[in-house]
Amino acid sequence: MELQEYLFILRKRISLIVLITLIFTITSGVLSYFVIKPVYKSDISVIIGKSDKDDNGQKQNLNDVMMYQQMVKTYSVLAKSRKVADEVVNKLDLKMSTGAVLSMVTVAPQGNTEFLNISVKSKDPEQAMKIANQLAKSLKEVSADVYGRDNVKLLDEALLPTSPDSPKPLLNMAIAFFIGIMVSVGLVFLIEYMDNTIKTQEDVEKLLGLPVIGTIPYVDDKE
Amino acid sequence: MLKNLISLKNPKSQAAEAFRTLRTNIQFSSLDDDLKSIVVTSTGPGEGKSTVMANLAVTIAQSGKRVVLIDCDFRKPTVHKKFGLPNSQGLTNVLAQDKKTHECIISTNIPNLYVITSGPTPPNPAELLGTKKMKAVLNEVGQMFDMILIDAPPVLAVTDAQILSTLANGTVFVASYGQAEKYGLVKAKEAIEKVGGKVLGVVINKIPEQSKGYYGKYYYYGSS
Repeated sequence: MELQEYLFILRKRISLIVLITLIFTITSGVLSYFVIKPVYKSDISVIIGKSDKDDNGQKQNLNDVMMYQQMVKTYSVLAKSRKVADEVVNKLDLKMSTGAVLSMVTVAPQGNTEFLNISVKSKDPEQAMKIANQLAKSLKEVSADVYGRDNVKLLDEALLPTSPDSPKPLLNMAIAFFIGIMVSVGLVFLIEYMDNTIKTQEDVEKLLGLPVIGTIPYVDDKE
Repeated sequence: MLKNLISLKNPKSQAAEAFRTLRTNIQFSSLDDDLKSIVVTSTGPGEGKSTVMANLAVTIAQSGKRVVLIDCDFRKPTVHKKFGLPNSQGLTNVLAQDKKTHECIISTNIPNLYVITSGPTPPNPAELLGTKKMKAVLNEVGQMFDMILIDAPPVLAVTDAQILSTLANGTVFVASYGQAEKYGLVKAKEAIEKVGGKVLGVVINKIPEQSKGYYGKYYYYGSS
């Protein structure tokens, strides 16, 4: 088939393509705006390390810095431990299980730095903020408890999230738009492929070995 | 009605030009044999067979040839409607009764174009078409005209078109765009060739306006 032919097939069923794409986009928009419950995310950063001068009054050297960078990974695991989560549940008097709290929490070390980023997602923005703040505090306490040294410093407070983290209606609609186009174009070519009626001169000549002796355009008799 | 035929109403239109191309293609599709009688049929009903026939007949008549259009679709005759003629007397009267052939030939208001309507619907159309009388009638009409166009029922529905194809010099299929099925057309071709009929070619009908760009080149350069 020639490119021209593909274009003709698409042009012929352009209404179907537009319709399907619209349905996809609108459905996605409706779902994003009205159906899916918004989820809020609250972030807090903690620094793993201790004050410039340690207990012996010695200055930090490069090795210490390197060590703390490594320790950030250890602490990220600690932050997601049951012990810390238990602490959060107790302190905030939450009516949810430890596992439920853990499932809301994402902990990620910030590259090769001493920063540890804690994100909490919840349908309730205030709850997300509270848990994030408490989690950082609990991490500080638990780590002091476990290591006997307080290496966790709270950098800032978690803020009350103002806009939902998800769903992102515009992004969802854009994705649905492109999926809609792909699905409908696929469908159009499938319909064309399944269609076993005579469409082109080549159809007849290849299939029957008969010449096409006339091609008559559609004429409306009733005009 | 006859005045609605595109070849008459708008002879400069693309459709009228398409029919002139069809006329030329039919004239040149058989150089050796003298192509005198042509059966026009389709695989199924409603493909525009009769309209194509009527336009083709008009176009041939316009070229100065004496042409007669015979309605051999006894089961569902339409030619008389196209030309606005009565159908109380026709070919079946000649075949089943003792009416003379020339009595049934009706002249139209188009020069060189004549029509033989089907006549009353008989109970046994296929048998009537298979009689020696039918062959004799065609021979007789052939003496009087340059070209005979025979309107036959759809090939896949009834056997009439097969019978007629053996009596005529050639058979043309009208296949409606997006309606005639490929497999149906293959079966129709086999049916005609099985009884020794000669298929001249296929006319693709009702090509939508939109696909003109795709088909356009054929109008100007023509095809074999």
